Amino acid sequence: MRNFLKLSWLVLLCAFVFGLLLATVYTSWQPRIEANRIAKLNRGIRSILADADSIRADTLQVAAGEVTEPAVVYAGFSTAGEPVGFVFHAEGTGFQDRIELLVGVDPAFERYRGIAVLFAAETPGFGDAIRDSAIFKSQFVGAPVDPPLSVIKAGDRTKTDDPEIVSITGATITSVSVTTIINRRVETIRTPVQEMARGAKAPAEGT
Amino acid sequence: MSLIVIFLSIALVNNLVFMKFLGICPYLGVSKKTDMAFGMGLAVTFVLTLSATMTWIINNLVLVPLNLEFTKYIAFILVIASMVQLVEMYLRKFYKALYQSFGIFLPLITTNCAILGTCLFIDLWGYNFMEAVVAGFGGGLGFTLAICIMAGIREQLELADVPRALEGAGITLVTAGILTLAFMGFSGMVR
Amino acid sequence: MSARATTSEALTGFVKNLWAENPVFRALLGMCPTLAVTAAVKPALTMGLAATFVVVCANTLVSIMRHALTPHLRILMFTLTIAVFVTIADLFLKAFLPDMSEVLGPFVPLIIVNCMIIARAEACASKKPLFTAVMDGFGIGFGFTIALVMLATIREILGGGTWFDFRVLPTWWVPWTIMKLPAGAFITLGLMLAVIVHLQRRRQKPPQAA
Repeated sequence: MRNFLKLSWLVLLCAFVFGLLLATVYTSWQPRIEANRIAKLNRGIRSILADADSIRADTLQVAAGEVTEPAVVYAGFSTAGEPVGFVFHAEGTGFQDRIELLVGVDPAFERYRGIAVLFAAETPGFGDAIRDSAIFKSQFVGAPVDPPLSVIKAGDRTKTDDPEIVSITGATITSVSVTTIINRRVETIRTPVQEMARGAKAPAEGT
Repeated sequence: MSLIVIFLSIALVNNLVFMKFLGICPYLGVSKKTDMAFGMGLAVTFVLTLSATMTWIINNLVLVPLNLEFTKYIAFILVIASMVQLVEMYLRKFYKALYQSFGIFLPLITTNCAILGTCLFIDLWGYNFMEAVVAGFGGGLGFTLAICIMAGIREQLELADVPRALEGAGITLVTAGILTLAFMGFSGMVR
Repeated sequence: MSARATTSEALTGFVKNLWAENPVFRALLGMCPTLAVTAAVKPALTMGLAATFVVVCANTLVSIMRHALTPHLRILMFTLTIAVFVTIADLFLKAFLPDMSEVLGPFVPLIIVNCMIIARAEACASKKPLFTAVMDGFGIGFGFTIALVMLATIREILGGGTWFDFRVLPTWWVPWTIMKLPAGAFITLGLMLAVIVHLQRRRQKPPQAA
């Protein structure tokens, strides 16, 4: 035992000190990290549902293959208490890495209200434009949910009420990935959200 | 996502060396001879598969339930270091021949960022257990592929007439750049 | 050794690490982050400063406990120390620079396996007194930062026409997108090494030039 301590007292001491140090640093900064994450999420939701007065998060059960898994849906309400739209997460593989989106739809789940990018690590200068290109993102605003979104290589980028999304030049695959991610997610999340939408009005009228 | 897609994705499309810049040090350092490169590649594949499995288990069964995710990096590097030690001791005791062929590379592997990097990426991508194992194995094979191609080219380069300023690291990096261009052809293959 | 000798040794070490023994250009250490985060100047600078913080702190601690280190626990202690400070740096970025933390992603934790830092702990901090070790840490950290920013400057200007997000080239400039891709990183660094080797060689042989 003494021999053991003689050999390893430094490691034990350091482990203790380091543990203490890390715990202190973590507990003092953790609230800030959490606040950053929430602020980012809020910015994304707000950019889609700009007209919402209040936003409520609900957890729905969404089919994932055989089973269902919980998914958070954010419902925006106007000052009158009417739902103005729903926002949900959608995730998938892009050109190189994972893409995580927020997708907004109108209360009837008929038209998109817009998208926001939460995470993307696509090619800088090309695919990365899904993050910054306002004109690419604006094409989703008002696009119908049916038929599914599709990508064309050339066309009118300002025309927004059709399901055709004009791809980012030089980043067709990223653009296709984005629409595929959205279409796939809509397939499974549509029914639960519509069910919730029917229920969402009742308590809203009460308040 | 199916396991084959994950395997192809990490071995070719998201090749550790070309797309994620992981394991560049051994990629430039140990790629002079093809057999050395192959030995290094195998050692990395071996350790990477093991550590990807171990770090997944520790992260998901110990750190996440206990809310200790902020100690993740320390836990990962310690797991990798002990994995390497264990493999080294095991091989030296039971597989002498194997130890002689790639044992010398093992100590170098602890500080190979391909290992820690892959474990971190697996965590970032939120893979499940089987996916993590496959990704670890695929990542190792992708690394082996990259380092062997590089070694093959460098063996030929020995005979080439390289501008004097570019000799050594310079020409190796430029070659790596051109190889990366070639590997970009795989991008977007997996969707 | 007198105090003055220590100070001068520390200062020489600091200056030497900045350029003459620059970790990236001369010693070819820490290649992974050098290539991965230099698509733009801002992440490169953040990365350089984060690495400087880690190497200075790790050198300080290793130097303080250098007499207590036993040979077989040496590397373990180095790794542990470095990993702790990297975690702190990572938490700091997440809390105060969330955008940068997202761009750098797993390359911040990868500072742990940056051979540059462990090499300094082994070669300098575990042998030298505190002040020398700290100055050595600053030297190597700033040297690393300089290298990163130089590479990032070339890549960002040619690849996007901007520097530190400010437009420096006229708008008719067609960006060389390859500079922002992995391939551009390898090729730029290769050519930069060539230029540095060439300049070095010219300086070493002044009689021939004269």
